[in-house]
Amino acid sequence: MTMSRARYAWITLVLLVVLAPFAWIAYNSFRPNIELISGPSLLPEVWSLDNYRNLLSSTPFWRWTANTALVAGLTLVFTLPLAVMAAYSIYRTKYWGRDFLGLAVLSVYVFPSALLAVPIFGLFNDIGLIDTHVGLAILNSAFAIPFAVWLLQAFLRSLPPELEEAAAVDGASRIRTISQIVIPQIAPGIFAVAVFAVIVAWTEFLFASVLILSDGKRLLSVGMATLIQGYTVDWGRLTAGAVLTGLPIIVFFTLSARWFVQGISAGAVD
Amino acid sequence: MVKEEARRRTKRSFGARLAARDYETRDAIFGFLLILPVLVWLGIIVLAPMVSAIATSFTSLRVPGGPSEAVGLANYATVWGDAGFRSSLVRSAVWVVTNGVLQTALALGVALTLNRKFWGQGFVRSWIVLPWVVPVAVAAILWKWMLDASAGAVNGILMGSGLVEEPIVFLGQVSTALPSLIGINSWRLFPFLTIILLGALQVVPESEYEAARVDGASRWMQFKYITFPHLVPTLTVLGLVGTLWAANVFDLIWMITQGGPIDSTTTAPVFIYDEAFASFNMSAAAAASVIFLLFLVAFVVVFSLTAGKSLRQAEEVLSVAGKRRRERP
Repeated sequence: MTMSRARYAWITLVLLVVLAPFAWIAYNSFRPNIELISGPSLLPEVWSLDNYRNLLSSTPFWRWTANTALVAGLTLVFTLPLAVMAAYSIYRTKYWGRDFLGLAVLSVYVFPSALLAVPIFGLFNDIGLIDTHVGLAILNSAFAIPFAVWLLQAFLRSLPPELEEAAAVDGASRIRTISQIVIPQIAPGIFAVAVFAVIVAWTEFLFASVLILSDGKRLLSVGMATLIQGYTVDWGRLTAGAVLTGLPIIVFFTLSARWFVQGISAGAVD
Repeated sequence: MVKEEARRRTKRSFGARLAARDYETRDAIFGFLLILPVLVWLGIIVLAPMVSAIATSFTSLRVPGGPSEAVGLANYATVWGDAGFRSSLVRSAVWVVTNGVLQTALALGVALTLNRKFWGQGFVRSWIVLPWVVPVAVAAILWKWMLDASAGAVNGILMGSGLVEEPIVFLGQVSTALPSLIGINSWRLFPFLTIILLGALQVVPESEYEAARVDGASRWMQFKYITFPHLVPTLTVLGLVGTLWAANVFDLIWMITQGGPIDSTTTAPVFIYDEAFASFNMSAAAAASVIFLLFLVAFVVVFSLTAGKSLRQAEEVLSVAGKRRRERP
Protein backbone atom coordinates (compact mmCIF):
# COMPACT_ATOMS: atom_id res chain seq x y z
CA MET A 1 0.00 0.00 0.00
CA THR A 2 1.38 3.40 -0.82
CA MET A 3 1.24 6.52 1.22
CA SER A 4 -1.13 9.32 0.57
CA ARG A 5 -0.03 12.92 0.67
CA ALA A 6 -1.83 13.46 3.95
CA ARG A 7 0.18 10.69 5.51
CA TYR A 8 3.45 12.20 4.33
CA ALA A 9 2.40 15.56 5.74
CA TRP A 10 1.55 13.93 9.08
CA ILE A 11 4.88 12.10 9.27
CA THR A 12 6.75 15.27 8.37
CA LEU A 13 4.94 17.14 11.11
CA VAL A 14 5.76 14.44 13.67
CA LEU A 15 9.41 14.36 12.64
CA LEU A 16 9.57 18.13 12.84
CA VAL A 17 8.22 18.20 16.38
CA VAL A 18 10.52 15.37 17.41
CA LEU A 19 13.74 16.48 15.73
CA ALA A 20 13.53 20.25 15.25
CA PRO A 21 14.40 21.10 18.87
CA PHE A 22 17.68 19.23 18.46
CA ALA A 23 18.59 21.09 15.31
CA TRP A 24 17.58 24.36 16.91
CA ILE A 25 19.74 23.89 19.98
CA ALA A 26 22.72 22.68 17.96
CA TYR A 27 22.44 25.76 15.78
CA ASN A 28 22.13 28.09 18.75
CA SER A 29 25.16 26.62 20.46
CA PHE A 30 27.26 28.34 17.80
CA ARG A 31 25.81 31.78 18.46
CA PRO A 32 27.59 34.03 20.92
CA ASN A 33 25.96 34.37 24.31
CA ILE A 34 25.02 38.00 23.90
CA GLU A 35 23.09 37.19 20.73
CA LEU A 36 21.23 34.31 22.42
CA ILE A 37 19.65 36.55 25.02
CA SER A 38 18.40 38.99 22.44
CA GLY A 39 15.94 36.42 21.09
CA PRO A 40 15.48 33.79 18.42
CA SER A 41 17.01 34.56 15.07
CA LEU A 42 17.45 32.51 11.95
CA LEU A 43 20.84 33.86 10.98
CA PRO A 44 23.55 34.52 13.53
CA GLU A 45 25.60 37.64 13.06
CA VAL A 46 28.68 35.76 14.15
CA TRP A 47 29.42 32.07 14.29
CA SER A 48 31.61 31.17 17.22
CA LEU A 49 32.90 28.34 19.34
CA ASP A 50 32.97 30.51 22.46
CA ASN A 51 30.22 28.55 24.18
CA TYR A 52 32.16 25.32 23.81
CA ARG A 53 35.39 26.90 25.02
CA ASN A 54 33.54 28.41 27.95
CA LEU A 55 31.93 25.06 28.87
CA LEU A 56 35.14 23.05 28.62
CA SER A 57 37.20 25.56 30.57
CA SER A 58 34.67 26.17 33.35
CA THR A 59 33.61 22.56 33.99
CA PRO A 60 35.38 19.17 34.11
CA PHE A 61 33.19 18.12 31.21
CA TRP A 62 35.41 15.34 29.83
CA ARG A 63 35.80 13.85 33.28
CA TRP A 64 31.99 13.75 33.61
CA THR A 65 31.73 12.06 30.24
CA ALA A 66 34.38 9.46 31.05
CA ASN A 67 32.68 8.68 34.38
CA THR A 68 29.32 8.29 32.64
CA ALA A 69 30.80 6.00 30.00
CA LEU A 70 32.34 3.85 32.73
CA VAL A 71 29.03 3.52 34.58
CA ALA A 72 27.21 2.75 31.32
CA GLY A 73 29.74 0.03 30.46
CA LEU A 74 29.48 -1.55 33.91
CA THR A 75 25.68 -1.39 33.79
CA LEU A 76 25.79 -3.26 30.49
CA VAL A 77 28.11 -5.93 31.91
CA PHE A 78 25.82 -6.51 34.90
CA THR A 79 22.53 -6.36 33.03
CA LEU A 80 23.18 -8.67 30.08
CA PRO A 81 23.96 -12.02 31.75
CA LEU A 82 21.42 -11.52 34.52
CA ALA A 83 18.62 -10.55 32.13
CA VAL A 84 19.34 -13.41 29.72
CA MET A 85 19.45 -15.94 32.55
CA ALA A 86 16.23 -14.68 34.10
CA ALA A 87 14.42 -14.53 30.76
CA TYR A 88 15.50 -18.07 29.88
CA SER A 89 14.39 -19.27 33.27
CA ILE A 90 10.96 -17.63 33.04
CA TYR A 91 10.18 -18.51 29.45
CA ARG A 92 12.04 -21.78 28.78
CA THR A 93 11.97 -23.81 31.95
CA LYS A 94 9.16 -25.01 34.19
CA TYR A 95 8.93 -24.84 37.92
CA TRP A 96 6.45 -23.99 40.59
CA GLY A 97 5.96 -20.24 41.02
CA ARG A 98 7.60 -19.33 37.74
CA ASP A 99 4.81 -17.10 36.41
CA PHE A 100 4.61 -15.30 39.72
CA LEU A 101 8.35 -14.59 39.66
CA GLY A 102 8.01 -13.20 36.14
CA LEU A 103 5.44 -10.73 37.42
CA ALA A 104 7.41 -9.98 40.57
CA VAL A 105 10.46 -8.98 38.53
CA LEU A 106 8.37 -6.50 36.52
CA SER A 107 6.84 -5.08 39.69
CA VAL A 108 10.14 -3.39 40.53
CA TYR A 109 8.74 -0.35 38.73
CA VAL A 110 6.06 0.06 41.38
CA PHE A 111 8.56 1.43 43.88
CA PRO A 112 9.14 5.19 43.70
CA SER A 113 12.87 5.67 43.16
CA ALA A 114 12.78 8.89 45.18
CA LEU A 115 11.79 6.72 48.11
CA LEU A 116 14.39 4.02 47.52
CA ALA A 117 17.16 6.62 47.36
CA VAL A 118 17.15 7.07 51.15
CA PRO A 119 17.53 3.45 52.31
CA ILE A 120 19.86 2.64 49.41
CA PHE A 121 22.09 5.47 50.51
CA GLY A 122 22.24 3.84 53.96
CA LEU A 123 22.76 0.36 52.55
CA PHE A 124 25.56 1.42 50.20
CA ASN A 125 27.14 3.37 53.02
CA ASP A 126 27.24 0.21 55.15
CA ILE A 127 28.71 -2.08 52.48
CA GLY A 128 31.18 0.41 51.09
CA LEU A 129 29.49 0.98 47.73
CA ILE A 130 28.68 4.62 48.39
CA ASP A 131 30.46 7.03 46.07
CA THR A 132 31.55 4.24 43.71
CA HIS A 133 30.73 3.80 40.06
CA VAL A 134 30.31 0.07 40.54
CA GLY A 135 27.60 0.71 43.09
CA LEU A 136 25.74 3.04 40.76
CA ALA A 137 25.99 0.50 37.93
CA ILE A 138 24.60 -2.24 40.18
CA LEU A 139 21.66 0.01 40.89
CA ASN A 140 21.10 0.97 37.26
CA SER A 141 21.11 -2.65 36.23
CA ALA A 142 18.47 -3.47 38.86
CA PHE A 143 16.18 -1.00 37.12
CA ALA A 144 17.14 -2.09 33.59
CA ILE A 145 16.75 -5.83 34.14
CA PRO A 146 12.94 -6.09 34.46
CA PHE A 147 12.19 -4.43 31.13
CA ALA A 148 15.14 -6.24 29.53
CA VAL A 149 13.62 -9.56 30.56
CA TRP A 150 10.35 -8.55 28.94
CA LEU A 151 12.18 -7.55 25.75
CA LEU A 152 13.78 -11.00 25.54
CA GLN A 153 10.59 -12.97 26.09
CA ALA A 154 9.31 -12.77 22.51
CA PHE A 155 12.60 -14.03 21.13
CA LEU A 156 12.63 -16.94 23.51
CA ARG A 157 8.98 -17.72 22.88
CA SER A 158 9.39 -17.77 19.13
CA LEU A 159 12.27 -20.24 19.41
CA PRO A 160 10.98 -23.70 18.43
CA PRO A 161 11.49 -26.20 21.30
CA GLU A 162 12.69 -28.78 18.74
CA LEU A 163 15.93 -26.85 18.45
CA GLU A 164 16.89 -27.47 22.03
CA GLU A 165 15.49 -30.99 22.04
CA ALA A 166 17.63 -31.92 19.07
CA ALA A 167 20.71 -30.61 20.84
CA ALA A 168 19.77 -32.54 23.97
CA VAL A 169 19.35 -35.76 21.97
CA ASP A 170 22.80 -35.18 20.52
CA GLY A 171 24.08 -35.21 24.06
CA ALA A 172 24.84 -31.51 24.46
CA SER A 173 24.59 -30.21 27.98
CA ARG A 174 21.97 -27.61 28.81
CA ILE A 175 24.55 -24.88 29.26
CA ARG A 176 26.17 -25.70 25.95
CA THR A 177 22.79 -25.72 24.23
CA ILE A 178 22.07 -22.28 25.58
CA SER A 179 25.43 -20.76 24.76
CA GLN A 180 25.77 -22.28 21.28
CA ILE A 181 22.19 -22.51 20.05
CA VAL A 182 19.83 -20.31 22.04
CA ILE A 183 22.01 -17.22 22.46
CA PRO A 184 22.92 -16.87 18.76
CA GLN A 185 19.23 -17.26 17.91
CA ILE A 186 18.15 -14.43 20.20
CA ALA A 187 21.12 -12.18 19.37
CA PRO A 188 18.96 -9.26 18.11
CA GLY A 189 17.11 -9.25 21.41
CA ILE A 190 20.35 -9.34 23.39
CA PHE A 191 21.61 -6.45 21.33
CA ALA A 192 18.47 -4.43 22.04
CA VAL A 193 18.91 -5.13 25.75
CA ALA A 194 22.52 -3.94 25.59
CA VAL A 195 21.50 -0.63 23.99
CA PHE A 196 18.65 -0.25 26.47
CA ALA A 197 21.03 -0.75 29.41
CA VAL A 198 23.52 1.80 28.12
CA ILE A 199 20.78 4.38 27.54
CA VAL A 200 19.26 3.83 30.98
CA ALA A 201 22.68 4.38 32.57
CA TRP A 202 23.47 7.40 30.41
CA THR A 203 20.23 9.21 31.26
CA GLU A 204 19.79 8.27 34.93
CA PHE A 205 19.89 11.24 37.28
CA LEU A 206 18.40 10.65 40.72
CA PHE A 207 20.68 7.91 42.01
CA ALA A 208 23.70 9.46 40.36
CA SER A 209 23.03 12.63 42.32
CA VAL A 210 22.39 10.90 45.65
CA LEU A 211 25.02 8.15 45.61
CA ILE A 212 28.01 9.91 44.03
CA LEU A 213 29.51 12.36 46.48
CA SER A 214 32.97 13.41 45.31
CA ASP A 215 33.27 15.97 42.54
CA GLY A 216 35.82 13.91 40.65
CA LYS A 217 33.38 11.02 40.27
CA ARG A 218 30.40 13.08 39.16
CA LEU A 219 28.35 12.02 36.13
CA LEU A 220 27.20 14.03 33.12
CA SER A 221 23.52 14.14 34.03
CA VAL A 222 24.27 15.53 37.47
CA GLY A 223 26.91 17.93 36.19
CA MET A 224 24.53 19.31 33.59
CA ALA A 225 21.74 19.60 36.15
CA THR A 226 23.93 21.84 38.30
CA LEU A 227 24.42 24.10 35.29
CA ILE A 228 20.67 24.25 34.62
CA GLN A 229 19.79 25.12 38.18
CA GLY A 230 22.39 27.81 38.71
CA TYR A 231 21.18 31.24 39.77
CA THR A 232 22.21 32.85 36.54
CA VAL A 233 21.44 30.75 33.51
CA ASP A 234 24.27 30.82 31.02
CA TRP A 235 22.39 29.81 27.87
CA GLY A 236 25.49 29.66 25.73
CA ARG A 237 27.21 27.19 28.01
CA LEU A 238 23.99 25.18 28.43
CA THR A 239 23.31 24.81 24.73
CA ALA A 240 26.90 23.73 24.12
CA GLY A 241 26.58 21.34 27.06
CA ALA A 242 23.36 19.86 25.71
CA VAL A 243 25.03 19.21 22.36
CA LEU A 244 28.12 17.61 23.87
CA THR A 245 26.10 15.57 26.38
CA GLY A 246 23.80 14.25 23.71
CA LEU A 247 26.46 13.67 21.09
CA PRO A 248 28.16 10.47 22.37
CA ILE A 249 24.87 8.72 22.99
CA ILE A 250 23.52 9.89 19.63
CA VAL A 251 26.62 8.55 17.86
CA PHE A 252 26.28 5.30 19.79
CA PHE A 253 22.63 5.15 18.85
CA THR A 254 23.28 5.92 15.20
CA LEU A 255 25.61 2.95 15.00
CA SER A 256 23.09 0.65 16.61
CA ALA A 257 19.73 2.20 15.72
CA ARG A 258 18.74 -0.29 13.05
CA TRP A 259 19.41 -3.31 15.22
CA PHE A 260 17.94 -1.70 18.27
CA VAL A 261 14.67 -0.78 16.61
CA GLN A 262 14.46 -4.25 15.08
CA GLY A 263 15.17 -5.86 18.42
CA ILE A 264 12.69 -3.73 20.32
CA SER A 265 10.06 -4.23 17.65
CA ALA A 266 10.49 -7.97 17.69
CA GLY A 267 10.38 -7.88 21.46
CA ALA A 268 6.86 -6.55 21.38
CA VAL A 269 5.60 -9.58 19.50
CA ASP A 270 3.52 -11.38 22.04
CA MET B 1 -7.69 -36.12 24.70
CA VAL B 2 -7.37 -36.65 28.43
CA LYS B 3 -8.15 -40.35 28.10
CA GLU B 4 -5.65 -40.76 25.34
CA GLU B 5 -3.00 -39.12 27.43
CA ALA B 6 -3.81 -41.37 30.37
CA ARG B 7 -3.57 -44.47 28.18
CA ARG B 8 -0.27 -43.32 26.79
CA ARG B 9 1.00 -42.77 30.28
CA THR B 10 0.16 -46.24 31.53
CA LYS B 11 1.72 -47.73 28.45
CA ARG B 12 4.99 -45.98 29.04
CA SER B 13 7.49 -48.07 30.93
CA PHE B 14 8.32 -47.28 34.49
CA GLY B 15 11.84 -46.39 33.43
CA ALA B 16 10.67 -43.88 30.85
CA ARG B 17 8.36 -42.30 33.37
CA LEU B 18 11.17 -42.06 35.84
CA ALA B 19 13.40 -40.49 33.21
CA ALA B 20 10.70 -37.93 32.33
CA ARG B 21 10.17 -37.18 35.98
CA ASP B 22 13.89 -36.86 36.42
CA TYR B 23 14.08 -34.45 33.48
CA GLU B 24 11.30 -32.32 34.91
CA THR B 25 13.03 -32.10 38.26
CA ARG B 26 16.31 -31.16 36.70
CA ASP B 27 14.57 -28.60 34.49
CA ALA B 28 12.93 -27.06 37.54
CA ILE B 29 16.18 -26.90 39.49
CA PHE B 30 18.04 -25.50 36.48
CA GLY B 31 15.36 -22.87 35.89
CA PHE B 32 15.34 -21.80 39.48
CA LEU B 33 19.13 -21.57 39.63
CA LEU B 34 19.07 -19.30 36.58
CA ILE B 35 16.66 -16.82 38.07
CA LEU B 36 18.19 -16.93 41.52
CA PRO B 37 20.91 -14.29 40.86
CA VAL B 38 18.30 -11.79 39.64
CA LEU B 39 16.11 -12.47 42.65
CA VAL B 40 19.03 -11.91 45.01
CA TRP B 41 20.08 -8.80 43.05
CA LEU B 42 16.60 -7.25 43.12
CA GLY B 43 16.03 -8.44 46.66
CA ILE B 44 19.06 -6.57 47.95
CA ILE B 45 18.75 -3.48 45.76
CA VAL B 46 14.98 -2.99 45.70
CA LEU B 47 13.12 -5.13 48.20
CA ALA B 48 15.35 -4.72 51.26
CA PRO B 49 15.53 -0.91 50.95
CA MET B 50 11.78 -0.88 50.47
CA VAL B 51 11.23 -2.82 53.69
CA SER B 52 13.65 -0.53 55.48
CA ALA B 53 11.79 2.52 54.15
CA ILE B 54 8.51 1.14 55.44
CA ALA B 55 10.15 0.60 58.83
CA THR B 56 11.48 4.17 58.77
CA SER B 57 7.98 5.51 58.21
CA PHE B 58 7.08 4.42 61.76
CA THR B 59 10.03 6.23 63.35
CA SER B 60 11.11 9.83 63.86
CA LEU B 61 14.25 9.70 61.67
CA ARG B 62 15.18 13.03 60.15
CA VAL B 63 18.57 12.49 58.47
CA PRO B 64 20.08 9.14 57.39
CA GLY B 65 21.93 7.63 60.34
CA GLY B 66 20.51 10.16 62.78
CA PRO B 67 18.73 9.41 66.06
CA SER B 68 15.20 8.05 65.86
CA GLU B 69 12.53 6.43 67.97
CA ALA B 70 9.31 4.60 67.23
CA VAL B 71 6.36 6.93 66.81
CA GLY B 72 3.71 4.59 65.43
CA LEU B 73 1.43 6.15 62.85
CA ALA B 74 2.28 9.76 63.73
CA ASN B 75 4.10 10.40 60.44
CA TYR B 76 1.15 9.11 58.46
CA ALA B 77 -1.19 11.42 60.31
CA THR B 78 1.11 14.40 59.71
CA VAL B 79 1.67 13.68 56.05
CA TRP B 80 -1.94 12.93 55.29
CA GLY B 81 -2.93 16.08 57.12
CA ASP B 82 -0.59 18.07 54.90
CA ALA B 83 -2.65 19.70 52.16
CA GLY B 84 0.56 20.00 50.10
CA PHE B 85 0.91 16.23 50.03
CA ARG B 86 -2.71 15.59 49.14
CA SER B 87 -2.56 18.01 46.23
CA SER B 88 0.71 16.42 45.07
CA LEU B 89 -1.19 13.11 44.87
CA VAL B 90 -3.91 14.76 42.80
CA ARG B 91 -1.25 16.30 40.55
CA SER B 92 0.36 12.88 40.13
CA ALA B 93 -3.00 11.45 39.10
CA VAL B 94 -3.45 14.23 36.53
CA TRP B 95 0.15 13.69 35.39
CA VAL B 96 -0.26 9.94 34.90
CA VAL B 97 -3.62 10.08 33.15
CA THR B 98 -2.84 12.94 30.75
CA ASN B 99 0.61 11.58 29.96
CA GLY B 100 -0.83 8.12 29.41
CA VAL B 101 -3.60 9.29 27.09
CA LEU B 102 -1.37 11.70 25.16
CA GLN B 103 1.49 9.26 24.70
CA THR B 104 -0.68 6.31 23.76
CA ALA B 105 -2.71 8.34 21.27
CA LEU B 106 0.42 9.80 19.67
CA ALA B 107 2.25 6.48 19.60
CA LEU B 108 -0.71 4.65 18.12
CA GLY B 109 -1.29 7.33 15.49
CA VAL B 110 2.35 7.43 14.45
CA ALA B 111 2.84 3.65 14.57
CA LEU B 112 -0.20 3.05 12.34
CA THR B 113 1.18 5.54 9.83
CA LEU B 114 4.71 4.17 9.90
CA ASN B 115 3.49 0.64 9.43
CA ARG B 116 3.36 1.16 5.65
CA LYS B 117 6.10 1.00 3.13
CA PHE B 118 7.29 4.44 2.13
CA TRP B 119 10.41 6.22 1.07
CA GLY B 120 12.60 7.02 4.07
CA GLN B 121 10.85 4.54 6.35
CA GLY B 122 14.06 3.20 7.87
CA PHE B 123 15.29 6.70 8.63
CA VAL B 124 12.07 7.76 10.30
CA ARG B 125 11.81 4.60 12.35
CA SER B 126 15.32 4.97 13.74
CA TRP B 127 15.42 8.68 14.33
CA ILE B 128 12.02 9.14 15.84
CA VAL B 129 13.42 7.52 19.01
CA LEU B 130 15.92 10.33 19.53
CA PRO B 131 14.06 12.18 22.32
CA TRP B 132 14.10 9.00 24.39
CA VAL B 133 17.78 8.32 23.70
CA VAL B 134 19.24 11.59 24.94
CA PRO B 135 19.74 12.18 28.67
CA VAL B 136 16.92 13.82 30.58
CA ALA B 137 19.29 16.72 31.25
CA VAL B 138 19.48 17.39 27.51
CA ALA B 139 15.71 17.27 27.14
CA ALA B 140 15.44 19.65 30.08
CA ILE B 141 17.87 22.18 28.59
CA LEU B 142 16.26 21.83 25.19
CA TRP B 143 12.78 22.69 26.37
CA LYS B 144 13.77 25.28 28.93
CA TRP B 145 15.47 27.01 26.04
CA MET B 146 12.65 26.47 23.54
CA LEU B 147 10.02 27.71 26.00
CA ASP B 148 12.01 30.62 27.39
CA ALA B 149 9.96 33.80 27.53
CA SER B 150 12.43 36.18 25.93
CA ALA B 151 14.82 34.04 23.91
CA GLY B 152 12.70 30.95 23.21
CA ALA B 153 11.74 29.74 19.77
CA VAL B 154 8.17 28.84 20.71
CA ASN B 155 7.38 32.36 21.85
CA GLY B 156 9.23 33.64 18.82
CA ILE B 157 6.91 31.67 16.56
CA LEU B 158 3.77 32.56 18.50
CA MET B 159 4.55 36.26 18.51
CA GLY B 160 5.90 36.32 14.97
CA SER B 161 2.68 34.83 13.67
CA GLY B 162 0.63 37.25 15.73
CA LEU B 163 -1.07 34.55 17.81
CA VAL B 164 -0.07 36.22 21.05
CA GLU B 165 0.87 39.76 21.89
CA GLU B 166 2.92 39.13 25.00
CA PRO B 167 5.35 36.22 25.40
CA ILE B 168 3.94 33.34 27.45
CA VAL B 169 6.05 32.43 30.49
CA PHE B 170 5.33 28.73 29.96
CA LEU B 171 7.39 27.35 32.82
CA GLY B 172 7.11 30.29 35.16
CA GLN B 173 3.38 30.57 35.82
CA VAL B 174 1.04 28.26 37.66
CA SER B 175 -1.48 27.81 34.87
CA THR B 176 0.96 26.64 32.18
CA ALA B 177 3.84 24.96 34.02
CA LEU B 178 2.26 21.53 34.55
CA PRO B 179 0.73 21.27 31.06
CA SER B 180 4.10 22.28 29.57
CA LEU B 181 5.88 19.57 31.56
CA ILE B 182 3.30 16.99 30.51
CA GLY B 183 3.92 17.95 26.90
CA ILE B 184 7.69 17.66 27.33
CA ASN B 185 7.44 14.29 29.06
CA SER B 186 5.15 12.93 26.36
CA TRP B 187 7.47 14.27 23.67
CA ARG B 188 10.28 12.35 25.33
CA LEU B 189 8.49 9.03 25.77
CA PHE B 190 5.95 8.56 22.98
CA PRO B 191 8.64 7.63 20.40
CA PHE B 192 9.69 4.66 22.52
CA LEU B 193 6.10 3.42 22.69
CA THR B 194 5.81 3.96 18.95
CA ILE B 195 8.53 1.50 18.01
CA ILE B 196 7.23 -1.09 20.44
CA LEU B 197 3.76 -0.79 18.89
CA LEU B 198 5.34 -0.97 15.43
CA GLY B 199 6.78 -4.31 16.37
CA ALA B 200 3.40 -5.54 17.51
CA LEU B 201 1.79 -4.31 14.28
CA GLN B 202 4.26 -6.22 12.16
CA VAL B 203 2.91 -9.59 13.24
CA VAL B 204 -0.69 -8.93 12.23
CA PRO B 205 -1.13 -11.29 9.25
CA GLU B 206 -1.77 -9.39 6.03
CA SER B 207 -4.20 -12.16 5.03
CA GLU B 208 -6.61 -11.02 7.73
CA TYR B 209 -6.81 -7.57 6.16
CA GLU B 210 -7.22 -9.02 2.70
CA ALA B 211 -10.10 -11.18 3.87
CA ALA B 212 -11.68 -8.19 5.58
CA ARG B 213 -11.39 -6.11 2.42
CA VAL B 214 -13.02 -8.88 0.41
CA ASP B 215 -15.88 -8.71 2.90
CA GLY B 216 -16.07 -4.96 2.32
CA ALA B 217 -15.02 -4.00 5.84
CA SER B 218 -14.33 -0.30 6.31
CA ARG B 219 -11.00 1.02 7.56
CA TRP B 220 -12.54 1.57 10.98
CA MET B 221 -13.93 -2.00 11.08
CA GLN B 222 -10.51 -3.36 10.11
CA PHE B 223 -8.92 -1.40 12.94
CA LYS B 224 -11.56 -2.43 15.45
CA TYR B 225 -11.72 -6.13 14.63
CA ILE B 226 -8.20 -6.90 13.44
CA THR B 227 -5.55 -4.33 14.34
CA PHE B 228 -6.68 -3.36 17.79
CA PRO B 229 -7.25 -6.87 19.19
CA HIS B 230 -3.76 -7.82 18.01
CA LEU B 231 -2.32 -4.82 19.86
CA VAL B 232 -4.11 -5.51 23.13
CA PRO B 233 -1.42 -7.75 24.71
CA THR B 234 1.31 -5.19 23.99
CA LEU B 235 -0.86 -2.27 25.06
CA THR B 236 -1.56 -4.10 28.29
CA VAL B 237 2.09 -4.43 29.26
CA LEU B 238 2.80 -0.87 28.14
CA GLY B 239 -0.23 0.41 30.02
CA LEU B 240 1.05 -1.18 33.20
CA VAL B 241 4.79 -0.48 32.95
CA GLY B 242 4.27 2.90 31.27
CA THR B 243 1.90 4.09 33.99
CA LEU B 244 4.34 3.09 36.71
CA TRP B 245 7.21 4.76 34.86
CA ALA B 246 5.17 7.93 34.42
CA ALA B 247 4.05 7.94 38.04
CA ASN B 248 7.66 7.84 39.19
CA VAL B 249 9.04 10.53 36.85
CA PHE B 250 11.16 12.80 38.98
CA ASP B 251 14.28 13.93 37.15
CA LEU B 252 12.59 15.82 34.31
CA ILE B 253 10.35 17.82 36.65
CA TRP B 254 13.17 18.43 39.10
CA MET B 255 15.54 19.73 36.48
CA ILE B 256 13.06 22.02 34.77
CA THR B 257 10.91 23.52 37.52
CA GLN B 258 11.98 21.87 40.81
CA GLY B 259 8.30 21.52 41.57
CA GLY B 260 7.49 25.20 41.21
CA PRO B 261 6.21 27.78 40.59
CA ILE B 262 4.34 27.72 43.94
CA ASP B 263 4.30 23.90 44.00
CA SER B 264 2.25 23.79 40.79
CA THR B 265 4.44 20.98 39.40
CA THR B 266 5.10 19.16 42.67
CA THR B 267 3.96 15.62 41.94
CA ALA B 268 4.24 12.94 44.62
CA PRO B 269 7.85 11.91 43.78
CA VAL B 270 8.94 15.56 43.89
CA PHE B 271 7.18 16.02 47.23
CA ILE B 272 8.93 12.91 48.60
CA TYR B 273 12.35 14.06 47.39
CA ASP B 274 11.78 17.54 48.82
CA GLU B 275 10.71 16.15 52.15
CA ALA B 276 13.72 13.81 52.36
CA PHE B 277 16.58 15.84 50.91
CA ALA B 278 15.51 19.47 51.30
CA SER B 279 13.46 19.44 54.52
CA PHE B 280 15.50 16.54 55.94
CA ASN B 281 12.53 14.66 57.22
CA MET B 282 13.20 11.05 56.22
CA SER B 283 10.34 9.56 58.18
CA ALA B 284 7.76 11.87 56.69
CA ALA B 285 9.17 11.18 53.22
CA ALA B 286 8.96 7.45 53.88
CA ALA B 287 5.37 7.71 55.10
CA ALA B 288 4.44 9.76 52.02
CA SER B 289 6.08 7.13 49.80
CA VAL B 290 4.21 4.29 51.44
CA ILE B 291 0.91 6.08 50.90
CA PHE B 292 1.88 6.77 47.28
CA LEU B 293 2.94 3.16 46.89
CA LEU B 294 -0.44 1.95 48.16
CA PHE B 295 -2.15 3.95 45.42
CA LEU B 296 0.16 2.45 42.81
CA VAL B 297 -0.41 -1.08 44.09
CA ALA B 298 -4.17 -0.47 44.03
CA PHE B 299 -3.77 0.64 40.41
CA VAL B 300 -1.79 -2.49 39.53
CA VAL B 301 -4.46 -4.74 41.06
CA VAL B 302 -7.36 -3.00 39.33
CA PHE B 303 -5.43 -2.84 36.07
CA SER B 304 -4.51 -6.53 36.16
CA LEU B 305 -8.13 -7.52 36.73
CA THR B 306 -9.43 -5.29 33.91
CA ALA B 307 -6.57 -6.21 31.60
CA GLY B 308 -7.30 -9.90 32.02
CA LYS B 309 -10.84 -9.24 30.87
CA SER B 310 -9.85 -7.13 27.86
CA LEU B 311 -7.23 -9.70 26.87
CA ARG B 312 -9.89 -12.41 26.80
CA GLN B 313 -12.25 -10.15 24.84
CA ALA B 314 -9.56 -9.42 22.25
CA GLU B 315 -8.85 -13.13 21.86
CA GLU B 316 -12.53 -13.76 21.37
CA VAL B 317 -12.85 -11.09 18.69
CA LEU B 318 -9.87 -12.53 16.85
CA SER B 319 -11.06 -16.11 17.06
CA VAL B 320 -14.59 -15.23 15.93
CA ALA B 321 -13.19 -13.34 12.96
CA GLY B 322 -10.85 -16.22 12.15
CA LYS B 323 -13.64 -18.75 12.37
CA ARG B 324 -15.88 -16.74 10.09
CA ARG B 325 -13.10 -16.53 7.55
CA ARG B 326 -12.51 -20.25 7.59
CA GLU B 327 -16.20 -21.00 7.25
CA ARG B 328 -16.59 -18.84 4.18
CA PRO B 329 -16.74 -21.00 1.03
